[in-house]
Amino acid sequence: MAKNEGEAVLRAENLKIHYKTKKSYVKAVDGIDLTLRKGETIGIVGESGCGKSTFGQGILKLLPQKTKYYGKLLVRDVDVTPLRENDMRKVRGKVVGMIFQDPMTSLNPITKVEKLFYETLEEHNPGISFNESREVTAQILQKVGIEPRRMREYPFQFSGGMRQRVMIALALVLNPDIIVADEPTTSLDVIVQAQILNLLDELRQSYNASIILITHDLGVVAEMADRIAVMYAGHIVEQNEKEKIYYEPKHPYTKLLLKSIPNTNPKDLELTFIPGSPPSLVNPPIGCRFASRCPYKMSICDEKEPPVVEIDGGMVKCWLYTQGSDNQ
Amino acid sequence: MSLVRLQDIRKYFPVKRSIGEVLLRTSQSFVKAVDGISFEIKAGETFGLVGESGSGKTTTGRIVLRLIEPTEGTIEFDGKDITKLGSDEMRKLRKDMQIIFQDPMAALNPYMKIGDAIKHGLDIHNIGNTQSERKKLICEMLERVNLQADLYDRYPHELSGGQRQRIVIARALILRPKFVVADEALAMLDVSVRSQLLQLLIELKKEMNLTFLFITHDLATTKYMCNRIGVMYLGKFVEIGTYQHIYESPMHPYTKALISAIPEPDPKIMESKKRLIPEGEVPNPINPPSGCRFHPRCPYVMDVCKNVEPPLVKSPDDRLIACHLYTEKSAVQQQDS
Repeated sequence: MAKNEGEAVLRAENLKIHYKTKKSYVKAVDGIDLTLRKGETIGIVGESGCGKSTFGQGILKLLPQKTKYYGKLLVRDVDVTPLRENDMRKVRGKVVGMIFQDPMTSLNPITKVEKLFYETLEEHNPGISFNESREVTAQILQKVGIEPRRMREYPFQFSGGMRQRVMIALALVLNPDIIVADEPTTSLDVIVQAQILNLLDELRQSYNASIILITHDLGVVAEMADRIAVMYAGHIVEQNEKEKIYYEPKHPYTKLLLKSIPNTNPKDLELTFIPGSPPSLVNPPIGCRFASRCPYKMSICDEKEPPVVEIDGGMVKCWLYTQGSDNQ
Repeated sequence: MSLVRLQDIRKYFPVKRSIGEVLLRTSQSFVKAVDGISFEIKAGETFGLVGESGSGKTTTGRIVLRLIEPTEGTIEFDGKDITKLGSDEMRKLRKDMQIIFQDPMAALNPYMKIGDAIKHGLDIHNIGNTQSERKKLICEMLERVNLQADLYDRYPHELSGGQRQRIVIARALILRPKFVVADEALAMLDVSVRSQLLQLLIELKKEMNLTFLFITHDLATTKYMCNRIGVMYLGKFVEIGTYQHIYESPMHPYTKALISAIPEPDPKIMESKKRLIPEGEVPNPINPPSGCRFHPRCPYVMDVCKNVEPPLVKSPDDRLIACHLYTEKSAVQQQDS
C-alpha cells in the first residue's frame, strides 16, 4: 500500500472548477487539495452534486469550454489548468486515461472496436499502420478478458460488462500513468461489478498505474482504494487512509454518511439518515457548507469557512478539530 | 391469507425478425423473460425480488399488475382470478394495486403540476366528492410523505430526485391501495436520501397495512423491508427464503455468488470475504441452458444438472430451493422414470 511516500503523479492545489450555466457559475469544485502518488488508488466519494465527477473530468479538461479553472492541477509536474485544447490532447489517453460510467454512451456505436483503438493509437503515434494497431489491440483485449477476434464487432454487440472491459482496455492502451475511473461499475450488476473490480485491481498491479476512483459506493472503495477523499458541496471535507476513514471518521459528514449506508448485518435494523439537503453551489454559504445539516454545529460554523486541519495522518476541514492546531 | 398468487407464470417476448427471416420462414424465437414461476404474497407481507438485470424481476412485477400480459399462467388477486379480466374491471381494481417506478423523472409528466399528477388517480376512481375535498386529501398526503403542501402548484423539474420520488409514492398511496409493487424504487437515489425514503416506506407500510412486492438489486435494503426474498436467475426462482436464509446461509450456488459479490462498506470485511465470483456472464434468455440454468457457471456442477431442471422444493429449514445439490434423490428418480 502506498503511504505518504513515492512520487506524486497528480497534485491539485487549491483547485477550483466553476462551470457556466445560463445565468451563473456553479462552483462545483471549490478549492481542493489532493495528491495522488505512484501506484496509489484514491477513492473520491460523495453524493450527487458534490463535485466529484467535475473534478474527474476536470483532470482531463473534458468540461464545457466556458468552464473556469483556478488554482493548480499538476499532472506529472505540468499545470494543466492553463493548457489549451491542442495541448490537452497530448495528455489525454497518454498520461491520463479515463474510464466512464456508461460504456454505451461513451463508445461510438457505429465504430468497430478495432477502429476505436486505431483512432486512439494513431492520435499519439502518427503513422502507425492499421495492422500494427490491430496487433496492439489484440494484446490489450486479451489482457482484459475479451477474445481478440471480437475487435471486429461494434460496441452494441457487447454486453454491459464486456463493453466496460473494452473501455478499460481503451483507457490502458497507451499505458498512462494515471487512470481516472468515474463510477466505472455503477451501471453493472453486482457479479459483473465484482469481475470488473477484480480486473481493475489486477491491471493496476501489472501496470503500476495510479487510479482516481470516483464513486458514490462506499463498498466499492472499501475494496479498491488505499486512501479516500470525501467530498461535500465542492470541498474535500476529509481525506485519509481507507481504514481511518471507515473506523475513525472525523468529519461529521463522513460519520453520518457511513451510518446511513444500509449494511447487511441482519441484526442491525436501525436506519440513519442525514436530514436536509446539500446547499446550492451557485451561492454556497460563507461558513461551513455542511453546517445546516450538522448535529455538532457551533456558531463559528455559520460565519467562517473551516480551515483544513492535519490530523491523524490525514486531513479534515472542520472547526471541531481546530483547537490546539497551528492552522488557526 | 394470500393477497397475490401467481401460478406457473411464463412470459415470452417475441424477438423481432428481419424481413429476410420472415420470407425465409425462420422460426420465431422468443426471449424467455419469465419461465414458469409460482409464488404467493400474504396480506401484509413484503416479498422481495432480487436478481441481476435480465433475470425477469421487472417483468414479474408488471405481470402481477397485468401491465404486461403473461404468455401462460394465472394471476390471483384477493382471491379472484384476474388473468382474463376486461379492461374496465381491471381499471377498477387498479385502485387496490399500485406501482412505484424507478425513475421519478420518467414517471411524472413534466408538463403536469404535482397536485394534478396526484389528483389524476382520485379523479379516475372518484375519491373525494368535490375538487376542494380532493385537494385537501392531496395536501394531507404530501405532508405525510414529508413534503410541503405548497408543492401542489409546482412542476416536477423544480424538485430534487428525492422529492420527486416522494411525489410518486404519494400518488400511488393516496388511493389507499392494498398492494404496491415497488420496482427499484430507491435505486436512483443517493445513500442519505435512500435511507430516508426506505424509512418512509416502512412507516407507510405499517400505517396503511400495505402488502409489497419489492423489486431490487440491492440486497441490503431487503433486510429492512422484506419478510421473504425470492432470488431470480434467467426467468426462474433459484431460492426463496427469509433475509437470514438468503444472506446468512445461502444454499444455492448462484445465491452464494450474488451475496459474495456485494461490496460492503467495511475494508476488513472486504479483505476477509470469500469471493465466489462465477466466470462469464448471464447466458442469453432466448436459448437458456438446458437443465439447471446456472449449470454452465456453477462450480459444483454435476451431470444431472446439465439435463434435468431442478424443481423448487422445500428444504428442512423452510426455504424453497431449486438445486440438485439438495434434491439429488428426487432428481435421480425423475431421470429413472
